[in-house]
Amino acid sequence: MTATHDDVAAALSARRDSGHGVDPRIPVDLDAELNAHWGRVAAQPPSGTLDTALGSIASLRQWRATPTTPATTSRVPGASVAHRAIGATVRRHEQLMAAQLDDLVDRVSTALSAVLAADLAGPVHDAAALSGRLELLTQRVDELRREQRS
Amino acid sequence: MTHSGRSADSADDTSAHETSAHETSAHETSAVTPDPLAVNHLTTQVQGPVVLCETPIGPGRRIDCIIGAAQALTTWLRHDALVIVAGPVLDVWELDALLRWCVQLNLVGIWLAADPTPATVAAFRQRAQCIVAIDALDNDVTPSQLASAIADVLAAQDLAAQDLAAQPTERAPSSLTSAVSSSDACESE
Repeated sequence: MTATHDDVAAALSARRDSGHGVDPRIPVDLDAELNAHWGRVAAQPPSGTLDTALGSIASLRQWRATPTTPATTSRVPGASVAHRAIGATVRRHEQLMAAQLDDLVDRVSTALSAVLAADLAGPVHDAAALSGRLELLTQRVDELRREQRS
Repeated sequence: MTHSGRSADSADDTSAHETSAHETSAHETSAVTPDPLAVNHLTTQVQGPVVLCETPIGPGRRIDCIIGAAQALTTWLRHDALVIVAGPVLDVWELDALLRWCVQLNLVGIWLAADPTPATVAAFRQRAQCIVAIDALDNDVTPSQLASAIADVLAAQDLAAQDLAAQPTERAPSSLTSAVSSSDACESE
């Protein structure tokens, strides 16, 4: 048999009517101590979550694309000129892509910082929306990588 | 006592929707088969009474009150009791703060079930000895008062269970006596 909430409410009112609202085995100042303790815990930032997010953003800001250096020499007689021309073109292209990736990383880190500053701890559906946007950004980074490879 | 740095308005905006969804799930859960894993855990690992509080987990839901009541109940009144708080999570930071508080209190007699499945909730209801609706309580009810009332209800249930258990043992002598008397009658014949 399960006691319903009405039973609990009846027990509460019965205790109040009898003048013994709290069982004498419970310390008198327990409610005040619990209240103060919960106030301290609730005032703290989430454990690890904020620090982890800030650390991730800091590492993201330090990330920079490193363009490779294509070969500009050739063992084939007379082909070095063509190698240097192709290498210079590829290097310019890679530097352009690296600059775009750096810009994207800056934008992502700025967006994440703004989200954190605007109180990340919203309802769950806000977190889902944020996750969706981050997924779009990840797809964009993948597209840039594919473009760089091709 | 609400978590600082969060918008109470956002919680209020979603409260009506969440509450109706919660009530709907309550009806749906009644027809759901209890989760066997949860049933097994509650059967084998929990010896004492189970107090169930179904409520969305978010700011302003007074879950700190039920946790405080669990602390008072399991520390001073019923050491073997388990308090289960089950419901959808409206605010992950509130859940984080509540979990940290339970750890700091070294409170083992509580189960914070965030976003439980209907089958898990069905298992909780099947095992629960006492239901507490925290949102139906007066705002001035303190954790100690709530713990005292819950202990009273559990004590009354224990007495009722003892009475039920005692009834067969009272009938046994009479049935035994009648059986003996009938056999005596057979012997005399």
